[in-house]
Amino acid sequence: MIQDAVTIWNFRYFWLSLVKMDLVTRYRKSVLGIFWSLLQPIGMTAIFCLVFSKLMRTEWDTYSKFLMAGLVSFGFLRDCVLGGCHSLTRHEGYIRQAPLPFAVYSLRVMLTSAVHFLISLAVVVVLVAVLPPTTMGADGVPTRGGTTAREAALKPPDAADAPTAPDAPPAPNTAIDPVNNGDWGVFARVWMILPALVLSMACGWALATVTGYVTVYFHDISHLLELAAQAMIFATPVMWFRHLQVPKSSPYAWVVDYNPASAFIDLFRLPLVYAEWPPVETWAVAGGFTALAVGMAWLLSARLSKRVIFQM
Amino acid sequence: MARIDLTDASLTFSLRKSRNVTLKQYLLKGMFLNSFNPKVHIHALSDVTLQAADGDRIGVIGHNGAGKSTLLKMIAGVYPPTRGTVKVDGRICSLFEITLGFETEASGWENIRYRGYLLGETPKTLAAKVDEIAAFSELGNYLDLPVRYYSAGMMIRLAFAIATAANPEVLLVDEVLSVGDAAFQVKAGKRMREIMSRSRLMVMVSHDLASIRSMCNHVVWLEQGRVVMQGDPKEVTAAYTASIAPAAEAHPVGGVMADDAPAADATLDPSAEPAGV
Repeated sequence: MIQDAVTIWNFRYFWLSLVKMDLVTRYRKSVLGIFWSLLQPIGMTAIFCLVFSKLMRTEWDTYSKFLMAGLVSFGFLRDCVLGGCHSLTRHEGYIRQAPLPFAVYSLRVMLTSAVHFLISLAVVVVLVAVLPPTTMGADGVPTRGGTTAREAALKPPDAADAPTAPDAPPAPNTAIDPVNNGDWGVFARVWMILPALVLSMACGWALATVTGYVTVYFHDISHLLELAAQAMIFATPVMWFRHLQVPKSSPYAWVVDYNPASAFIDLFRLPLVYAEWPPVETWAVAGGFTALAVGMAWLLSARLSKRVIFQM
Repeated sequence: MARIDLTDASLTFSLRKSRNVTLKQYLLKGMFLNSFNPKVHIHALSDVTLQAADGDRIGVIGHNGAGKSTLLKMIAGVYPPTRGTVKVDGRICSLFEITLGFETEASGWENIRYRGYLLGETPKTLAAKVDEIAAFSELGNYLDLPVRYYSAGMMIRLAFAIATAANPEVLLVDEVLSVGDAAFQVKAGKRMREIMSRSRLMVMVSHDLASIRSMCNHVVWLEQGRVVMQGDPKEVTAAYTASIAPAAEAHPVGGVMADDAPAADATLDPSAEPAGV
C-alpha cells in the first residue's frame, strides 16, 4: 500500500493534469464557463430558499446560509460517490495501457469535485460575511442576531440537547457582533473548516474508490446510488432543522444521529455559519465513517486490484 | 538494469458463457448460477518461464490466439498472473493498443502531456520532447483541436509519436504497427528501429519471421498458451515453419498471411470443402 502511495505521488503530473482538464472541459462551450461553479450553488440555494424559508418559518437570509452550507457539503460527498462509480470503467483505456494503482482514477474524481466544492465554499463564506450574523438558538434553530422573542416562544423543554454542550463555554457566539450588518468575522474563522476539509476529502476518495470497484462487478449500482442520494438529501438535515423536525426525543432521532452525511455537513456548517466548533459526537461519526470507508477501499483494492481487469 | 523474469507464469481467464444475466435468471436461478451459467476457464498462458536481461531481444511467434499478446500484457503488468511469478525491472514502454485512453474532449497538445505523464515523464523531461512529438505526428494545427475530431489514422499517428518518444528500458512491441499512409509508414518504420535500438530489453510479437530472425537473439514459440520451444532464433523459426508448412493451407487462421485466402472462401460456402484439401 505504501508502494502504491509512492507510485501515485510519482505520477502526480498525470492525475493533476487530468483534474485540470476536467475543470476546463466541464464548461467547455458555455458562455459563463467556470463561473457556473459559483452560480450553480447560488441558484440552487435561491430556488430552495424560495420554497422552504416560508415552510421553515425563518428569515430568508438566515435560512439561505444554513441551506447553502448544507447543500454544497452534501453535494461534494454525493459527487464523489456518484462520480466514483465510473472511475474504473471510464479509465479502461489507461488501465489497459499502464498499470497504475487504481486509486489514481478515484483520486481524479474526488479532486475535481473538491475544486468545485472549494469554489462553492468560498461562495458560502461570502454569503455569511454579507448577511446579518446568525446565532444558533437554544432550540437549535438559527435566528438573526442574538436571542429573539421567537426563540423564547419556540424553546422546547429539552433545550439541553442543543449542539452546544451545556458544560462548554458559551463564549463562541460573542465573536458575532449583531450590531454590524454582516458577519465579517467569518474570514477569520475559515481555518476552522480545514480539518473538516481534509477529513471529507479522505472520505470522498475512499467512497469513490469503493463505488468504482463495485460498479465493475455490478453496473446497476450507479442507478441505485442516484436514488439513494436523493433519499439521503431528505433524510439529512440539509434543508430542515433537526431540532425542529427530528428532535432528540423523536423516534427517528437515530436517522440524524448516525447519519454520516449529517455529521459532515455540521463539520462545515457549524464553524462557518454559527462560529461554533462541531461537538465531539459529530467528529466521531464523521471520523468513524471515514475510517470505515478507507478500510473498505483498502480491502477492495487489496482483494480486487489484481482481478478487476478480467471483468472489464 | 532491465530484467524480465517469468517463472511458471500462468494466466487463466474465467468467463461466464453468457455474460448478461437477466434479472429473471438472477432471481430464479441465482443460487444455482454456476450450474446454468457455468464458468469457462480459458488457459491463455500456461507455465511460461522466460528470463531476459539487458541487451536481450526476445521474439514471440505463434498462431493467432496462441497467447502472444497476452504474454506482452502480462509482462507490462496489465494482466497479473493467476499462478507463478512475473518480475520486471526497468521502465516499461508498451507499443500495443496505443490508441486507447485518449481524452477525447482534450486537444492533441493536451493529450501529448497526459500520455507523456502516464508514461512517467515529468513537465521538465516532457517539455524537451513535446515539439519533436508534434513534428513527428505531422498533425500541425490539428493538434489544437479536440481529439474526438481526429480520424483513426490521425489518432494512430499521434499515439505512435508519443509512445515512441520515450526512452524505454523495457520495450514491448505487438506486431509492426501499420501507421498511417505509405509515406508515414516509412517514417514510422525508421523510428521503430531507432527506439528498438535505444531500448535495453525488447520483447516483440510478430508474424514476420524474417524480421524476427534478423532482430532477435532469442525466440519463444507459443501454442495455445504453452511454450512449445524457445531458444536460438534460427532453430525455433525453422521448427515453427516446418510445423505449419504441411498444414498451412488447411489452417484457417494464423500461418502465413497469404494462406488465409482459402479460409475466406470457406466461410462463404460452409458446405464446400476448403480449397486445397
